[in-house]
Formats: sequence, C-alpha cells, structure tokens
Amino acid sequence: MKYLIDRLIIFNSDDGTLQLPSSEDVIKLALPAARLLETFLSSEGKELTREYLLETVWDNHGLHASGSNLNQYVSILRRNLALLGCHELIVTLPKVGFKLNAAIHVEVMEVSAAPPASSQPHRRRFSPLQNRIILSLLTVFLIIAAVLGYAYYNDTVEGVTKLQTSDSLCDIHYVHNISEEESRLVLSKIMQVMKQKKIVCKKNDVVIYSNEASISNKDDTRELFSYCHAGKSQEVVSCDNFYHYKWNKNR
Amino acid sequence: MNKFWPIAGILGALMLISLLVIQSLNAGIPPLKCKAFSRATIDTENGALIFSLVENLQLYNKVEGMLEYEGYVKSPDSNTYLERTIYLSQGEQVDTETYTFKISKITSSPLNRTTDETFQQMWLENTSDNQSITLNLKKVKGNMLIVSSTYSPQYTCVKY
Repeated sequence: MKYLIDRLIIFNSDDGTLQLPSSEDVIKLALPAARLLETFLSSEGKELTREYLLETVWDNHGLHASGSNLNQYVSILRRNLALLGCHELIVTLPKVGFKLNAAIHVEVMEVSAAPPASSQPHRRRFSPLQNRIILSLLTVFLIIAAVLGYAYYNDTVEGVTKLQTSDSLCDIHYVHNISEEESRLVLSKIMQVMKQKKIVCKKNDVVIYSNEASISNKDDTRELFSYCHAGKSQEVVSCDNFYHYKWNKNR
Repeated sequence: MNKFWPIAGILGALMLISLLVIQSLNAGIPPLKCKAFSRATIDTENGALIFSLVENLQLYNKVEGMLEYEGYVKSPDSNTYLERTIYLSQGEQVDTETYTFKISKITSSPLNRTTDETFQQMWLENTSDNQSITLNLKKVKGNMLIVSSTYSPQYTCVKY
C-alpha cells in the first residue's frame, strides 16, 4: 500500500521505502520501522498504547521487543521523516504511548494489487476440477507403477518352486509346484546331483531341476539339470544343461 | 501462470509409458534368440547316446522360427559330428507361454556325420511325429527361459 504523507513523502509499505517524488532520494526502512510507520498511518489519529504497538509490530510477527526498542524505532522514524521534510508526524503521549499528528495530512494513494504472500497462506493454484484430474492421474500412475514394481521384483514363476537353502547362495528352482515337505527331498536330491557333477553353486548363479516320472513307474524318467552361471553384471550369461532320458531296458 | 496442463501432460505421458511397458510384458515371447549348452543322455536298447550340443532357438515372430543343433554324438561304437537346422512355420500361440509350429524342413550341414536315426533319438524328445512341435517357453529369471516339449523340460537357454 502507498501513502502520501504531508503531501510530500510517499511511503510504500510493501517494500518499506520513503521517497520524495520530486527527487530520486529513497530511504529504505528496517522491517519493524516500516511496520511501525504503517501502524501509525492506518491508525486514523487514534491513541496507540505502547503495549498495542509492541504487540502489533513485534509480538504478532514472532519477535520480542522492549519499550526502549520501541522508543528507538520511533526516533528512527522521526529522524528519517525529518530528513525528507516532515516534522512531528508522531506525537508522544506521556505514560500512554503515541499517536499520529492529526494536523498532518495522510492519504492512501493506492492499494497493493497483490497482498503479501504471508497474508494468504491458503492460496489456491488449481480449480477443484483440475485438482481432481491431477489426483486421479497421479493415483492411476502410482497404481501402474506399483504393479510394474511388483512384477519386476517378484521372482516367483508359475509352475516353478524356488527352493531356499541356507548352504547355498545361488537360486535353485524346481520345475513343478511342490509342497514344503517335498521341497526338502528335492533339494537334497539336487545337492546330490551337484556333488556328482562337481558343481559349486555361487552367488547369482541359478540351478533349475526337473524330474518327470510317474509314481507307478520310476524306472523311466526324464531329468533335466540346468546350471546357469552369472557374469560380471550378475546376470546369467550361459546355461549348461544335463538332460537324461532314463530307460530301463531290463524291466 | 497456470501449471495445470504441463503437470497433467507429464502425468498422462507417464501413464502412457507405463501402459506400453505393461503391454510389452504381456505381449508374449517372440521375437526371440536363445542359446544353451546341452549334454543330453538318451538311453536306447543299444546303449546310451550322449549328445553334446549347442542349441540355438530363434523365433522370428509367432509364426516362424528355427532350431539349430551343433555338436557331437557319442554312441557305444562311434563319435560323430552333428549339425541340423529345423525350420518352423505356421506357428500358433496356444497360451501365454506355449506355441505350436509346423516342422517345415530339417536340413543337415555338409559337415554332419550323424545319421538321421541317431539324431531322431534326441530330436524325438521334442516332437513325437516330426510334423509339428509344441514349445513351452517359461521365463524364469532375467534373460533365462526354460524350453519344454510336451514330454518334459528340455533345456534352459539364455536370450542373446
């Protein structure tokens, strides 16, 4: 907001400057001094107690000041106004406070187009419809991202059982869905095969095992043991497969 | 400045990209180039045949592809070089990971010294009638695929 004081000085409360329109002289006031002057200019000549001024200029802005601080800032204002040719704008009321000198003309020149940001904490950026659209798009995107993330990190494969073992650092998979009890038996069988083939399963390597046999006829089986080893980038680079079609011709 | 449209545009683009990624994940496996080292032991009435091969499966799309075998076969009385190419055509997708193809042609390289009869001992683990082949391609982890015939998983290959 801009005030014209004594038809002589322009005070801009937005940036705390005092200016003579006839010259280029500008005095920049400290923030408390600017707030104090604005309080006086908007008081319409009413008596302003010291308590009221301390509360309005300092306490309400999270600051603390004493009576002597108030006196100091009043005298700063008087000095700066005097420099620009305005004397006795602020009148002291002994033991009470201060008031604006009614004999000096004060006029509001213009109201700021945009109030200071601090006075509008809930500034709205979008319309409610726009907010809803953005929220919907964001929700859908997050759902899709979650699905993709789950698909990427979830290493379970349908029809394949991942067998965990504390001894081994590599992944061991069995190509069938089996129970936990069966898993232990199959794992033991896989360990035997690995021992036979002298395979040491290292971290990031993958072992895949399959054994196709009927319960009634365990003589004829198809067995696949795949040992896939990882390269530098921890991704599998090649697989060695051992396939055996076992046929018992003596049966 | 109203930032609604740029933000909505960026979110829309991210959604579109995510949907394209999901679509590509569900689009099936072909095209595919996959290789494996394989040691297949086939028990026969005349003793065991041991095929030490490099297997190369290529599916150009869901309709056409080829299978290549290259290596050695050790039988009780001989050790021969094997090199065969099987051409696949008229492919059809059966389910998300299963495809059937017509075997349009099987060719031997000039260097091949393995008889058809010996080759068939291994090859017939993949197809029963030599007319068609059903391939089940199961993604395990990263770039690995378990390739199965109607009888059993045959090998695990690595995409390249």
